[in-house]
Amino acid sequence: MNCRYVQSRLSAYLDFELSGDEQQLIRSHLEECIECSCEFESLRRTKQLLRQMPIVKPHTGPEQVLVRVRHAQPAAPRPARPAWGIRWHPPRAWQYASGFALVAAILFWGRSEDTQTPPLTTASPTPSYFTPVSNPLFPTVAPELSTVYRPYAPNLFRRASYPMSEPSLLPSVSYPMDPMLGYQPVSEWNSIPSQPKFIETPR
Amino acid sequence: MTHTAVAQSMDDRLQREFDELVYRHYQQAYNLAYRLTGNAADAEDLVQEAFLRAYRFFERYDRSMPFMNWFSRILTNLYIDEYRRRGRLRTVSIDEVYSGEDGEEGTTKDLPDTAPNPLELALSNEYIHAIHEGLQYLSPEFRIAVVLADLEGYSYEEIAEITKTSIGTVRSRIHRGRKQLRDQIKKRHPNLFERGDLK
Repeated sequence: MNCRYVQSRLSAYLDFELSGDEQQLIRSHLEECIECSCEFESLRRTKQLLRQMPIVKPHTGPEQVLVRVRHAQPAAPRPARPAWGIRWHPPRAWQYASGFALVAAILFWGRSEDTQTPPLTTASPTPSYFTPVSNPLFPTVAPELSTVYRPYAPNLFRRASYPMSEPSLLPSVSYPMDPMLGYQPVSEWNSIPSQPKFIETPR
Repeated sequence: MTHTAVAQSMDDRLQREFDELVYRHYQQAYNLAYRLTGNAADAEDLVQEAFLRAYRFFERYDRSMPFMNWFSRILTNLYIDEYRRRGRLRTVSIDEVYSGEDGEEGTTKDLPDTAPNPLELALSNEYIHAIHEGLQYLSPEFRIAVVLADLEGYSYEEIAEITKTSIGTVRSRIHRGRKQLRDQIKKRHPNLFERGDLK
């Protein structure tokens, strides 16, 4: 037990607000440590001074309070809380807006995915990145008719498909030529190549 | 008895109970307010406001709690609100020499009747003023904790309940408040901290 610890608890010790063991430990420390016992003595004196402060008598009596009270109206009783524990505050309705917006977005997303235009390319018969995906939560299209689900989490923020002229970050139509893959047929780069390509480089 | 008559008699009963509590605790409430605000005018305002609020919410008063504990919470909350609203409460130096309205020069301010309890040891007025002034140097949170503990004699648990804080916070506030107060008093009256019992 160091002095810093003891000094931080001297007031509580003085007020008998520590556990019995701690009171005992601090008492034994104070018997040995002059610095801590001086600190304790000054705090004890401060408390002693405060306790000797006289009680101040007011100029006016309680009658003045009672006169004012007679004209006051008691506050309205506390509004009863509904059994389900949520109180609706009309002025604070905007706080619930984000919740509603999220629900609406999920519902709308399920609808919009099914109504979007199919990709214009028909180059690949295999399921690709850019096939329309139906919302598994709200399958409005029968599963056998809908296209294959993606094996990963769908992108909620994907842009709706636009006509061809609209530039898009995600190519909804394959480029005729890809600089990274060389002259590859469009039908082949929809699937990720399983074998890495090793390119012979001259020494 | 009609419904309104029942309500009326209930109101009367509450009213009588409240009046009795005001009579019983007015002195103590004023003393607490005076030590917090530091002057008589603010103390009276604070006590009146606090009793008014207590009356308005008297139906919510939980009878399992002593009235003064509940009332102290109202009073200290009001005091903190007022303190923050004003930035800093108007504090009047009781030692400063001022010229009165009637032209009397060189007199000090009249304090309310601070009749000491005869059972307590008499502190000289000079010391009382020093301690009272020292209290005004503390931040309101520390002052509330120290006044409730050392002047009103509440336990740490009660103070935590009144100020709606943890016991650890109360312990720290009382400790730091006392240390700051001690340093303030020591500056002006180091003899109060010399060894030996008080006169």
